[in-house]
Order: sequence, then C-alpha cells, then structure tokens
Amino acid sequence: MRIKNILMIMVGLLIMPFFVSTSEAVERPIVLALQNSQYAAPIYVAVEKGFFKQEGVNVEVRSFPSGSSSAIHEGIASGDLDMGYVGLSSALIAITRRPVVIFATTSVCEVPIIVGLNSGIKDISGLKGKKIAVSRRGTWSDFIGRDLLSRYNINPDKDADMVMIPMPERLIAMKNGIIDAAVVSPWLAVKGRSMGISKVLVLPIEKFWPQTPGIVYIARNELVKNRKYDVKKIAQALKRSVDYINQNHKETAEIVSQKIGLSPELALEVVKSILWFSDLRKDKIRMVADALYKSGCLTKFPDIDSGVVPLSN
Amino acid sequence: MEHVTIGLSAIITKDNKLIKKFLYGLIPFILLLVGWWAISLRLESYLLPSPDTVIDAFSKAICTGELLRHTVSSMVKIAGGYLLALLFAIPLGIMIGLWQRAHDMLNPLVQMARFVPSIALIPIIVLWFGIGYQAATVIIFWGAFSPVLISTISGVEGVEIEYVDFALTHGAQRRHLLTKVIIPAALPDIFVGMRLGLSYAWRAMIAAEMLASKFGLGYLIMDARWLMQTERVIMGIITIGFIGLLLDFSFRSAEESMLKWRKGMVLK
Repeated sequence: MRIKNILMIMVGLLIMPFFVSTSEAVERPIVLALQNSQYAAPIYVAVEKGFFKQEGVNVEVRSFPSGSSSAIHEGIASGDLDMGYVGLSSALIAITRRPVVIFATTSVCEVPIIVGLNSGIKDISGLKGKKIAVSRRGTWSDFIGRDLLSRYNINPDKDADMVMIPMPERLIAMKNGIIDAAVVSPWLAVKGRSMGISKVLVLPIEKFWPQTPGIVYIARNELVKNRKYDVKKIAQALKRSVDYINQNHKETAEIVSQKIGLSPELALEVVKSILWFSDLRKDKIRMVADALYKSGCLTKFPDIDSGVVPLSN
Repeated sequence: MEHVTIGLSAIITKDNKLIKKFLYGLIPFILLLVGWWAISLRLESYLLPSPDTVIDAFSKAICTGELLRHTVSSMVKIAGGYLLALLFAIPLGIMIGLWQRAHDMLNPLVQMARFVPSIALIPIIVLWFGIGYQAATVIIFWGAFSPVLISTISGVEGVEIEYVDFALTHGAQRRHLLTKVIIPAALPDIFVGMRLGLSYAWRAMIAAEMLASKFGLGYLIMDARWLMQTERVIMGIITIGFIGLLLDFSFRSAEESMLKWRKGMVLK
C-alpha cells in the first residue's frame, strides 16, 4: 500500500508539469533576444519607458554579448528564443535556410572603417595590400568591408588581407601593429578615437547604402503565424522607441551608457551617429540580397516578399 | 607444398582476425548512420541534415579542394606546436622526475598551469602573436605541453627501484642508467602522455581556428555556422574525428613498434 502511494505521488509529479506548462503556454511571454550594444537602444528604451507593457504584450528580454548573432539564430531555430535582432546579411541568410521572417528594423548598421592614427592611410585606395580586420564571412562587417573595397577596384581576396579578429580585440590589434585597418561598430570607433589609437577613414553605410535597414528583427514563422498580433505589438513598441530616440538623444544616451558601460558623453556621440528609423524598405533589402548572392554568401536568392513582413506599419 | 599450405593458412587466419577486428569496429558506425538517417527524416534539415546531404557537402568540398586546403592547414599547425611541446616537455619531465629540487621548485607551477585550458589563453596569445601560424603554434604547444610533461614525470617517478639496482649490480655505469633503464621503463607512460597531448593539442587548435584564423577545420566549421550550412558543420566535425582516428592509429602503431619488449608482459 505504501509503495502504491509513493508510486502514485511520483506519477503525479511527473505529469504535473504538463498541466502547468499547458496553462502557461497561453500567456507565455515572448522571448526577445538582444545583443548588448548601441543597437539594442530601442529595446532598452522600450523596457525603460514601458512601451511593451503599454502595447499590451508580455516580453521577456534575454541579453547576449555583442557579436552573438550566431547564438541568437540558433536560439530561434531551436525554439529557446522567439525573436531577436541581428545584422541584415545574416538575417537574409537565415530566411533562405530556416523558417524565419524579418518583421521590423530600427536602424542602419553603420560599420565605420578605422585606421591607425599613424598608419599614413588617407583614403580607401590606401587599403590596398593592407591587413583589414573583419568579422566572419556572411556578417555585415565582412559584407560591407568587401563591398567597399570592390567599389575601389581592390579585390578583397587578392589585393588585401581580410583577417578575422574578434571585435573587442581589434583596437589592441591595431595598436600592436597586427592590423592596419578594421571594420568596427560605432562605439568601438568612438572608443578608438578617444584612446588615441585610430581614426575613422570612412562611414560606408552613409556613403554607399543610405537608408538601408541594417539592424533587423527576425522571428520564427510559426510565431508570426500563431501570435501575429503580439509580434505586431512588439514591432509597434520598437517603432515608438525609434521615435523616442530621435527626439531624445540625451535621455537615450543615459540609458545606453548604463547598459553597455560607455560614458554618457561617448554614448551620446554614438546614439547621435546612428540613423534610427523603422521603415523596412524591401527595395533596399533586395539590393543587399543581390550583392550577397553575387558574393557567394547566399546559395539561393531569398524570397523577399514572403521573408520580409513589415509589421510596424 | 605442405609448408606453403600451412603458411597460407597462417596468413589467411591472421587476415581473418584483422578483418574481424575491422568489422567489429565498423558496427557502431553503421548503427550511428542508420540512426542518424532515421532521425533526420523526422527533423527539419536545418536541425539535422540527412546523411546524403552531408555526403553531397563532402563531395563539393573535395572537388573544389576546400576540404584538403583546410585539413592541410590544420595538420601543418599541429605538427609545429606538438613537436615543440614534446621537445620541451619530455626533457623537463625527466628532469623534474629525477631531481627532487627541480620537483619542489617547478611542480606547483606545473600543477597550476595544467588547469588553464588553451582556449582561455587565446585572447592574450592573439594579442601577442597575431593571428597567423605563430599564435596557433603557441596555442597547440600549450595544449600538448601539460599532459606530456605530467605523464613523463609520472613515468620517471614510477620506474621501479629494482630495475636501477639490478642495472647497477650488473655493472651499468650511472650515465647509462638514464638512457638504458629509466627512459625505456618510463616510455609507456610517456607514450600515454604523448597520445593525450596530441588529442588536447588537436582540440586546442580547432578552438583557436574557430576564434581567430582564416584556414583550418575549425575555421571551416565556424564559417559554415555563420552561413547556416549545418551540413558543412557536420562535414567538418566528421573530418576532425576521422583525422583524429588516423592520428591515433598511427600513434598506436608507432608505440607498438617501439615497445615491442612489453609484449607478453602486459595484458594487452
């Protein structure tokens, strides 16, 4: 009798989670991944100002270190994460290989090209024969770096040495003479200047890819299908954040400086330097997809009409 | 004629044993392949591509030379770092094993160093040595050094005192003790350390290539990861494992050849 009671309790404990999780699934928060960087400002602002709550959507934000696009893609693919922001190039790769869609944008993804202060490099043609630090093939920084060189008739594979160095180590690598130039994020460009290591050679997005969504939000197809209104609310909240940022640089900088450990002054400089917008322009995205396809990073051309679903309008 | 028949029977019997050994070793791989194929039918291809998709990736990588290029790059890196590790670790291990003062001085440092994995040193090594073969050599050296050193120390310290006494009472000069008694007796442990060191070095190298390299099997896997080509990731993993198997097999053959004297003295 005693053993029977113990067995019944054990069976009860085993099946209980199924009832608990079933009831939670109805109100399960949407898990939104962010990478701790200046580009997460819209999410930081949305949380701080309560935009998600005001839109009536329950969001759980999960933080990843900057440069964790792979982890976010994999988290979404495995179902651990529902959505997150990534660079446009990796998002386009994702929509050709996995069941995800791009549903919002919040900014361009400027990737300043920096050179050492004493490098003697005065313009882009000076990058010929030089060592340039980029991120991995298929990333936004690699794509923009290569695109820039090609526009100046520099073959990135033959006339320059594109080396993969993790973003946080690029400044020190430049200081130690390991690299001559680097494609970096805006905050690193600002930091490099303030440390007396580097100067900005060019802002390639501003020059060659204006108004191009660079930071985009992706979500699983299944989520967009089953909880379309929640996803739409999140897109709306992000749009509100973008509008807030454009009107309140200083307040945004204070929020960002606390989150990513930059001084408020540098954070303000970074926030002001980024073009924040929420217009998910398919024509611009198509141009990037075309360039990526020609470079070989995409093995098939993405279906922009079904893969890009603007939900913030 | 009879001798020929007996000889042939011996060869055939020996070949049968090898064939049997090979077939037994093949069974888990076949089961794994069948299991993989069955599971891949139920999962999305981006989660687990089917075996034929991976075979397709293999054939493309072989035809374009990509797989060979990355494999050779990894092999070149590991050769340099590993041999350097042996060059330093074995003599140092013998010295620490034989000389008490050296043991007292160096052992705490050795014990601390062995818990620091190569991957933790990558950011520093890349800053100091850049991202070329130099950095990879240092990372591989670090990965292999500790296991070889510790096994060498253990092997030397474990040499039975009776061997030394026997050699001395039979007229061996002290200078011959090292080369004729201690090192041969410690060799089995040294070889164990060398095999472990090789596998740690291989792993350290793959990790280094994943983080800061342009070529190599580790780079290939990370490249495939970024491009979300799971089939190429699996291709890279299988290649790494296969090369590891070949290296281990070569090692064991060399070990058996050099330690022939152990045959009949140990279980295997």
